[in-house]
Amino acid sequence: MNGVRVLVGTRKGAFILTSDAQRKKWDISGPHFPGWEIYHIKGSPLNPDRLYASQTSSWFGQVIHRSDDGGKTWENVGNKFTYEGVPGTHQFYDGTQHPWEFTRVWYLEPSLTDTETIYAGVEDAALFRSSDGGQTWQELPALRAAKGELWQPGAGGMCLHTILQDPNDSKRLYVAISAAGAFRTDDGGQSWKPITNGLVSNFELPDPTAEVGHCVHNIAMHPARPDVLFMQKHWDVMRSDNFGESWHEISGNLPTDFGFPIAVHAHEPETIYVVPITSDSEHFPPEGKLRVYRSRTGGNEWEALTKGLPQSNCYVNILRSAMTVDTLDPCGVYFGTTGGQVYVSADSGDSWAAIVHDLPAVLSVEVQTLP
Amino acid sequence: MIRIVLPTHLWRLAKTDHEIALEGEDLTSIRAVLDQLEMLYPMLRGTIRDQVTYERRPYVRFFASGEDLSHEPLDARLPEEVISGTAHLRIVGAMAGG
Repeated sequence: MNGVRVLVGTRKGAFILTSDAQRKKWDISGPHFPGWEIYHIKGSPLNPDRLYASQTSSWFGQVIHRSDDGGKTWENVGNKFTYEGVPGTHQFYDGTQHPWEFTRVWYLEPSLTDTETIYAGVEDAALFRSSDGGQTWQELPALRAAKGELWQPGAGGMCLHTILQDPNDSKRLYVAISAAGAFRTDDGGQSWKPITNGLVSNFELPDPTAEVGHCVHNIAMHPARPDVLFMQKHWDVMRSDNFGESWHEISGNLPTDFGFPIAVHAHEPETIYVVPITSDSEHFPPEGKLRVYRSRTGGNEWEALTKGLPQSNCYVNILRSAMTVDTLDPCGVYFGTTGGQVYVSADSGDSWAAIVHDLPAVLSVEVQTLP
Repeated sequence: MIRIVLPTHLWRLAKTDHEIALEGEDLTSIRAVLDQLEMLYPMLRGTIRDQVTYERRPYVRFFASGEDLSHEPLDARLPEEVISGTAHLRIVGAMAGG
């Protein structure tokens, strides 16, 4: 089969949407894990039938499942996430120090080089790794030594929500943490540094250029250009051309530069996508018009993509992990909304269609391009 | 014999029925019941109580014989009708919106 498998995590279960390469007719399966919040579901780049799902519940905690048949059946794997050593404390909402407490897994990132290795980004923010297919998890504790005592939860919690792997260097990882910032390791997680030079948070931080504390919403990278990073910050769309050492703003002519996800075209490293949201206090599209914005110049010059998207009375949000691209040609772009729609563009964003309209609120969207 | 009723999320997770019967003469406390339950159904570890501290998760409740046993010591003796299997020990997701 030459096609795609879209993995959708929602507030009330997971859904798997499959299509051939035309991406016009879709089969829908689910809900998988009905009633559970599925923060993330993602497949191994080495074995597309190996999937991992993070299911969480305020009542019953964290569960991880693994599939080896593309989501037809699932096996329960390890859910014990224990911080290394004495967990210590971080800043809390009231300015006091608060103990690190595990709440849930926000993000699962299967390794690019080893089928049995997978990373997990969790709340309270930390990075875990499993080398046995998710059966057991070990923290990479040096991350929290990167001024962790100064991190503090944002409105959504103190979550590690983004993990990127450098395809040219398996020891280099990037992570992003809400209201803490972005961090990089060049030695497989033994040491980390904040990569926030150039970020300015005038309204969110007492020191707008502080090393940590920036509310980074999402980071994206093209695999052919791992030195170039694109960031959707709380406010501001940013770019780095040197592995995150420094950032500059590329918001340009966007109607608002607040938003959550950011994505890079699979075949054009200078083509990027964002979904502008009105503001930090109004989490819906400006003017009730759902518009994806595309830049084909690596930022600053943006065009609105509207064909097939609602252009009136639309007040959904698109969360940070809810936009992605496939690697077909033309590139497919996907995003899910808090209103339960999952949209696809099979032509790099020129036109859009809803695959489904009425799912629970969408938390995450990933896609696998199947051979 | 102890008869346990699980909430929907957990009996589906354990791939069992909503009612589970546990055999054992020493099943006289919630701690002993949970120890055996988690041994037989390891996928339930962490869903009812913390895996490190063994404290009950905040939104989980233990009901039996019309009483809320959630705040009793984990080693407290269960009601005799639960120990004898004539009444259920109900593990419940606490009422909360969402």
